[in-house]
Amino acid sequence: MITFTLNGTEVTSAMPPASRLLDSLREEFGLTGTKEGCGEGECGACAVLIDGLLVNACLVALGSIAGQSIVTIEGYRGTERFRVLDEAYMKAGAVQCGICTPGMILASEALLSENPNPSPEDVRIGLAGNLCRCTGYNMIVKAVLDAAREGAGLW
Amino acid sequence: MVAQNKPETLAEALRIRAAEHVVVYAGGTDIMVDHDPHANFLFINGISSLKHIEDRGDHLLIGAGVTYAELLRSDIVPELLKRSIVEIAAPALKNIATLGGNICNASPLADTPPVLSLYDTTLILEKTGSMREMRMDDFMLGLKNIDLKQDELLTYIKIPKKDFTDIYYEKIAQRKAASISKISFAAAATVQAGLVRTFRFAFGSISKTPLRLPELENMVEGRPLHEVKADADRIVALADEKIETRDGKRSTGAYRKKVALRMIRDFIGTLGQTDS
Ligand SMILES: Cc1cc2nc3c(=O)[nH]c(=O)nc-3n(C[C@H](O)[C@H](O)[C@H](O)COP(=O)(O)OP(=O)(O)OC[C@H]3O[C@@H](n4cnc5c(N)ncnc54)[C@H](O)[C@@H]3O)c2cc1C
Ligand code: FES
Ligand code: FES
Repeated sequence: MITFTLNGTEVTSAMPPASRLLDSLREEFGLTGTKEGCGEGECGACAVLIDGLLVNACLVALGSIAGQSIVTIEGYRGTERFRVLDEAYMKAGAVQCGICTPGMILASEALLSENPNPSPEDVRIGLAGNLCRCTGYNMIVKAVLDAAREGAGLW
Repeated sequence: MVAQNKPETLAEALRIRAAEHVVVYAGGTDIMVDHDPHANFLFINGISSLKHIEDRGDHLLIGAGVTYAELLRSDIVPELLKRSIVEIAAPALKNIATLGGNICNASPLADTPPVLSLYDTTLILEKTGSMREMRMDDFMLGLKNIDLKQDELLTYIKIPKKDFTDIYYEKIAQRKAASISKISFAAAATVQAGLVRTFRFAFGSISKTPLRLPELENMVEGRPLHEVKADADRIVALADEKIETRDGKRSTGAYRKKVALRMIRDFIGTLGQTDS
């Protein structure tokens, strides 16, 4: 049994310690906002925050996070920062099919909390591990820059 | 209750390591790719004593559990090591992947070992009640093949301080963020008062382990800079003889040979820019 904090609440998983965090989130806790793209750490669709750091949940064994704090897109949704990012993504047309979006939003959050005033190049580096098959990235970069401006002081 | 195998102390980790048949799990970014849901992992990411970077006077002592992100944030980590890390994958990977994992995975494609080799890096390997120290170059034997005993853990990476005046790093890969290297080249030299005192380089992705050419280092070290530059053709020709490249999945041997030789020539060309 692995105990950890999930979106602010202490939970216990009954899955074996070597299971992927991604599977526990989706199957055990029904948090399907965390997507599976590649399953190999290359696309960022499964990104979550572990103790505030961006990590790909497909590469995380459940046992490694015992006692740690996980935030998924569902937990992040309640925040003011999410509201600002959500609006900026919408306005910039940065969402098409949406598969990459939860990971993109969390990567944006991780980037902005480290660097509240990023340059376009900083944004590209910060989101380099998140693939998007639809948008061509320019709208996403714009969304993050807009959010940084609109949400000045939040990060 | 099933044992969680996520100890907080090294002593407890070493006890479990000796008592059970475990797979060591640091950041998990190598072992989780071919994921075995029934593996018995020993999670070492909760051991705070393996997460320090310390200045020990003549060397740096880096805990095996220090992540790439932590190395990049430190101001005592050598610039050349940082250059090899900046190009490794994306933030989500840098946040958990460890230096110890990169060494122990011992992939020919790994990015930090060529740099660590240039620094004559040694490793501290511990088991309950004893420790040993060995050169990283002797520890790494080829993919997933390392000189580690069943009851041991890699605990610290010891990087001697060097007075390199010139550093050079280049990695050729398809795509920056998830960039498995076709070839990487790390080089360093000490040029003082017109003399090339030390000169060394190592290639990644060419052979099973980082490829250094001691004959070539000897041929250059101790000679005047202008002479070394004038001799670049002969040095490159010797490298041409010594380096064997085979066709790989990502590029042909001929291509990599050509690139390798060009990198050596370029490094020689840049030598001595900071010498006054
Ligand atoms: C998308 C992606 C991109 C990548 N890009 C790069 C890249 O550009 N360059 C590169 O070099 N690598 C790359 N890697 C590989 C990997 O991220 C690195 O090798 C990383 O440093 C491994 O560290 P880890 O802590 O995650 O290792 P783990 O997966 O935890 O362990 C790796 C191996 O080392 C053993 N081990 C780990 N720590 C210890 C210890 N202290 N004592 C004894 N044994 C130990 C484990 O048992 C395992 O066999 C990439 C991986 C992915 C998934
Ligand atoms: S599914 Fe995890 S990175 Fe692609
Ligand atoms: S919106 Fe479809 S993958 Fe990004």
